[in-house]
Amino acid sequence: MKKSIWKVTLVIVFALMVGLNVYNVQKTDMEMSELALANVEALAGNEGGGGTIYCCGNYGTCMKVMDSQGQVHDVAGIKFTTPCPR
Amino acid sequence: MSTKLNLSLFLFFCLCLLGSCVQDREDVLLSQFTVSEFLSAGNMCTINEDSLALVEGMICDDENLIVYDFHSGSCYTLFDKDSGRYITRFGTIGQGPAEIPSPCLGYLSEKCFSVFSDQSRMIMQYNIDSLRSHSSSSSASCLVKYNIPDAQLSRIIPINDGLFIGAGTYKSRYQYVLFDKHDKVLSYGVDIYNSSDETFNVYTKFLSNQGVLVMHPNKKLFAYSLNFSSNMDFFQVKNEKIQLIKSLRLGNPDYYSAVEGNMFSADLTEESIIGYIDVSATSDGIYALYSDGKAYESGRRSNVVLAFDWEGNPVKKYILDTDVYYITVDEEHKKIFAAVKDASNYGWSIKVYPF
Repeated sequence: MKKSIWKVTLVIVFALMVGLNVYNVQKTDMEMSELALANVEALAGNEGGGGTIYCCGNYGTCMKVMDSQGQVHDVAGIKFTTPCPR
Repeated sequence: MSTKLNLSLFLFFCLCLLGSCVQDREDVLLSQFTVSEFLSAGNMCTINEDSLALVEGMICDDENLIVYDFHSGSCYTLFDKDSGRYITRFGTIGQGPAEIPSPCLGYLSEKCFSVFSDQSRMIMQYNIDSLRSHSSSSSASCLVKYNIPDAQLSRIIPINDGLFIGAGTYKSRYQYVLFDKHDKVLSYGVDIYNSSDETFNVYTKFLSNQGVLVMHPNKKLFAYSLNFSSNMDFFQVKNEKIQLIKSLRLGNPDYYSAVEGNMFSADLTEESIIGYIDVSATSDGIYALYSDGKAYESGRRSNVVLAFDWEGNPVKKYILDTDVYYITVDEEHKKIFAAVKDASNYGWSIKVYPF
């Protein structure tokens, strides 16, 4: 009798833990901000890869571009995913 | 009775376990800091906000505060640190011998402000005393025009007039390179986080390895934080060799290498965090503005300043009363200068946090 009580309790607790973790994962997903979702959609909708990218500021290197002579030029700025501070 | 008690204890244990599952996972770096202190801005900064354009960084020493705010053809504004008095604007862009070729990052050390551009491969220097006295010698002088093959450098600090430490990529594998004014590479080392990742090429490896390099005011000790990551290296230069003290790499940046035709970039993903934003060095240690927020959800700003000692040990976490964009630390008076957006969200101001 004692053993079966333990077994039942263990099964219930295990089921509760699994259920709660699944709920947490779903809850985190639901809590994503609208901005994040918009960005995810932008990423998913653009087969070329990438949503809106901002090269912010005058320092750092945001990307490199090679010209027809093979010279590589820096595009200044820090790459960011939200509009640059004004 | 004993069975009921055991059962109750077992259930209590399980509930505690469940509770721990429910809690959010804390950022690995932030969890290293067990001591926190809240800081409120003082009313001691008298910098005229009209003197500031779009702020992109700051640095100070015992009497000067230099703000990087490129506008109208020049890059920097010099203030008296204690009074907030505007002194001058400098860093004129141009092709002349005393001008800098493009907006450059700079480092202030021993009354000299050195700037560099990896595109033009020039390191130039301003004498701060000359700038303060508005003398005719207050323009930039070329310290060195370097040419280190296989080096792409995000930051360079002159250790002295003839010795330079660079951080970025070297041979697409190493994070740091030490070289002299004759372009002789004296030392290099510490693998970049993605050195063996073949999806990155020579350009995207550099783009994903940019960060902030700082130096101890009096010793050859350095720290380099990687943008969009929880990674910071602490190292020293001894006998002209780079020696790693501690590699505190607690979260690599989450980039993917993007190559489209002749364009190369390291793009952020949905999982990328803001990570380290800005770093300031004092004799006591390193102060780093840090955010564990997701890059796609929040701006590059934070109210968390993490203090480390020069051994790379976490010391204290400071929580500021508002989000700030850049910091520099006044070692002498124990103050954090922080660049913030003003209430209208158009202008910038400097707040001061005594600590």
